[in-house]
Amino acid sequence: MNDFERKLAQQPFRQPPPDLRAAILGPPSNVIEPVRWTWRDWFWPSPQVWGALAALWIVFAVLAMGDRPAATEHTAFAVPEPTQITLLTFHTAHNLTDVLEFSN
Amino acid sequence: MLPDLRQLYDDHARALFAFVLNLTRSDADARDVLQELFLKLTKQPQQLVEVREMRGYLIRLAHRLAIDAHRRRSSHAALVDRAATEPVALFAVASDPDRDAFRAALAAALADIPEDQRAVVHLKLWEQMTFAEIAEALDIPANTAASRYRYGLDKLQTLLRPLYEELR
Repeated sequence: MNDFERKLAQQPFRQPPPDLRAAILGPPSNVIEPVRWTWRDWFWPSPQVWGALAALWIVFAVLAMGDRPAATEHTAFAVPEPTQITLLTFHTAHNLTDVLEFSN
Repeated sequence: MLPDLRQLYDDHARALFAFVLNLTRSDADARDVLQELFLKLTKQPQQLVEVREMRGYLIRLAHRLAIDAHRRRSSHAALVDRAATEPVALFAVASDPDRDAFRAALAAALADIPEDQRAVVHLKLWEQMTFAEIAEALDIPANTAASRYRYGLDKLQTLLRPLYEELR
């Protein structure tokens, strides 16, 4: 290497633009701190908590209704079966015919 | 083991940027080439595992990408005109005005020599690579690298002689 070559080699090229590193490699990764759980979180109103509470209430309500004794067991008069109703209607109609014939 | 890309950038980006900037004479192209190069490395980091001479390998990649960028630019007449008219700041700004003037003259002289000679001159002078290494990086025979260097340097000497003699 002669003097001229040495002279040229001593000339420093300029640096890449400062923003190029971030443009190529991306910004430095943000460290996400783990969220610290506190007892206050349980009591703080939030949709999840209130939703869970409502769901629990519905479950209890359904269970409470299921435990209630059936109303039919306590009624004084049992509801007649459809066949019984038909027979009853037939007898009534028959009796009514008899009464009408007698009156005539 | 895969190399750390951030470390790779810190170690080689300055040299790669200078080389590509000297070749393309365009700040935007130099940025694009470097971005593309590191994008390739990010997508296929395993290609670096077997690399023995990292600087040479990266320069080889950068050279290919710079040629592609140059072809794209050449097909765009307006961009070629812009590159020819806009002087690019190749060198760091010197505090001494004489040095600054020499650097400006050197940048202009480098622009005057053909691109293939400029690539060899750059790698020989500013990367201190041997002709064998340059030949491998640029995918040319070592003899061709040597002759390109000689032609390029002669032209630089002719262009810079008055200023160089003045500064001596």
